[in-house]
Amino acid sequence: MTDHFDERLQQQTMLADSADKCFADLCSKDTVNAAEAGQWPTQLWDTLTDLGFLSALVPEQAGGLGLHPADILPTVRIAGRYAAPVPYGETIIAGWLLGRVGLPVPQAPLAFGPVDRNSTLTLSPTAQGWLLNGRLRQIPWGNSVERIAVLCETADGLRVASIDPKNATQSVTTNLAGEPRVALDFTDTIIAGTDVKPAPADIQANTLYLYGALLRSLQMAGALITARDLAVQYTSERIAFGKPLNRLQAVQQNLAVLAGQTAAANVAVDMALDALAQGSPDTDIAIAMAKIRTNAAAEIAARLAHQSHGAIGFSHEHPLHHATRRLWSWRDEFGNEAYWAERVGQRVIDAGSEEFWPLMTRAAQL
Amino acid sequence: MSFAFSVPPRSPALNELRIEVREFLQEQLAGMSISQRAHSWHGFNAGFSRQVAAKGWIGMVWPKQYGGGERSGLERYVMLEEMLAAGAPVSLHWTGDRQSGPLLLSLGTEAQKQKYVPRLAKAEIFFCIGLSEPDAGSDLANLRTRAVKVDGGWIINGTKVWTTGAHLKHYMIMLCRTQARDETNRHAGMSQFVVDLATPGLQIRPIQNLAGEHYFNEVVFTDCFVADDCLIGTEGNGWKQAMGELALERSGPERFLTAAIMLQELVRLASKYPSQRATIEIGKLSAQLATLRRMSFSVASAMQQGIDVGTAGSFVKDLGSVFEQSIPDLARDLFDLGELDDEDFLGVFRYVMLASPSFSIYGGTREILRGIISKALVAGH
Repeated sequence: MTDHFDERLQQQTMLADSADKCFADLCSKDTVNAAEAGQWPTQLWDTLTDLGFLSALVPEQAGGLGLHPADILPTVRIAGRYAAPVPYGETIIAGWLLGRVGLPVPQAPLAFGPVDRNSTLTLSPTAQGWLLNGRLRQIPWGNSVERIAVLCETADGLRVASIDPKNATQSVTTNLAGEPRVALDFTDTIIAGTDVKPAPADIQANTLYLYGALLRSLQMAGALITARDLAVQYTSERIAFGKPLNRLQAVQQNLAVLAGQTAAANVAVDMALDALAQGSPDTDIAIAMAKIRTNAAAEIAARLAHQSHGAIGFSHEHPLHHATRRLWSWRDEFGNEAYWAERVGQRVIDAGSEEFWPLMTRAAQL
Repeated sequence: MSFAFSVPPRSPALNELRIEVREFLQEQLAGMSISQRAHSWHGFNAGFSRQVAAKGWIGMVWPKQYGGGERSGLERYVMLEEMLAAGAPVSLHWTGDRQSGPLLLSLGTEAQKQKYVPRLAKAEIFFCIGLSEPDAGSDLANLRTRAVKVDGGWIINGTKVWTTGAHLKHYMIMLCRTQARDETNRHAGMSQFVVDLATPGLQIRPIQNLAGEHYFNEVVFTDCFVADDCLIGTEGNGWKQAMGELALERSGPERFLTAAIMLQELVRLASKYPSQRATIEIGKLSAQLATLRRMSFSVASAMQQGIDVGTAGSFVKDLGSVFEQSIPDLARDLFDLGELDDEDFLGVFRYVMLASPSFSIYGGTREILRGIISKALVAGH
């Protein structure tokens, strides 16, 4: 068991090192600024493709690395640290879903959907294949992805469909971090029968939503590390009252809280990844807890990171906002604290007070 | 230690132990009221401590030759959190298991180890710690209690305060000055002694807490003679030794499970009086609890590998005390206590609410802990 654990850890470390180098080299402050202004970071994307990260969950026979999600998803935290302005986690998860059902996985930016809980999307059989109707909201980079992996309930059960966004009417908006979030309207759009497959039994209607929550938690865990590190660095360089800011006790107390929230958020995300790696039946609770905890940390830490930076952190010139605007965006994507906390809380209450502790030790196994 | 809290691979043996402890507690605590259980690790019960010892759960990680179980720090962690979650009255043996035993084992002479440690593991003797003084709390280096060398031993004079359980325990491990105070190096010239609380000249006076309960004491030393073999470790090295001991005090599950029984009671109330708000708050508390458990477990694992956990422990205690203190505040807002007809819950509430100010003071005040964290951040480790 330990050997297997070590082997797995070794592989994860290798992937993480390689991802870190790639983002450090190719995802600079300028890259992020340019992307927010609409310029696709070609070099970054092509390198991620060449390294195989984007098709990490695609089966080997279909040209991917055939990894387990728990092995590649830690790199999403690294993408979050660098504010990577690309649908990195989205492409990995969409590729996983398409690959699972044997649909082609193009080597291109991908999305998955629906990413909202009250989707009006319908898929109904027709002579030419399927008819797609309704709206996909908030699709990341929905105007530039090649395919969207869609999960849709039909009369014959849950289906996975590979959708071309060019067949939709698109309304492009951005989130607080300038990341494209696109609404796609489909009206009697014909989807070829070969682009639709039954969903495997282990995939449920909420599976993509859960994965989305995990992706954003991972990204936030990374962005929190960046916000913390920037605050630590700035307060060591900036001199006020004749000494570095970090010599002032009030500033020290803020840094400590910022670091505490960052640590807790990262631990919560580790816990969710761990549940995923173990195939725990309570993985959904672990992911919910990760989203609750990272969301909560984002609120406190973003405020304190800005407070530690003073006016300069409010400028466009300083890169702090690359982290904080993403924290403010990502915490509201795939469920806020109240949404997930209600689900976790209901599970706890249904189990009963006598079962509270046993449930805690099961859902968050050590 | 880095700021990443890694954990070791899962071991099924931990789950077996967890079930064993859980079943033991179910039997042992059957007669305890819920408000007694809410006292958690502040509850004293010598009979219970001896039952725990009989199971081999005091000094679990200590060498067998000194009465220990040579089990892992992770097993000990699981045992501890089960004790706390059930509200077991572990106070009498807690300090000895957590810090006095480990201190004696790492710094004590062979004779000291043999004299104290096996009896600690059997719950025949209980230890308390003497650090704080009237003029030395967070600024511990300001302590004044003084031991002066005499033939065959030392004469101690001074006063220790906030000494939990001194009136029920047998020995104190205390820190005092053995050399005159040096203003240029305030940490120098201190030493640790193990003192029999029945030593002539030693007086124990109760200090009631704000709830009118007696846990604390003032311990006054008036010309107390302690023999040479009561010195622990190296004369003059006491500050460093005591700080090492304090690190053991900050990362355990007692730093976030003190209000575990209240949390369980909140779940009961939320099913009795359902509301979306209560459901949401219970979900949030659960997420915080799960996170803290993993952090604390990670520190237990690091300690086992001999990694310095001073900063990591400070994170656990700081986040843990904020969490624990939020529980009674949240409870009152969720369940409008003036209207609540539930004496079981109100008993629990009264205890936890009144105990809660201490959570962010004992074992290192919040401000001190945050100072430690901040210094580690600046130093980059």
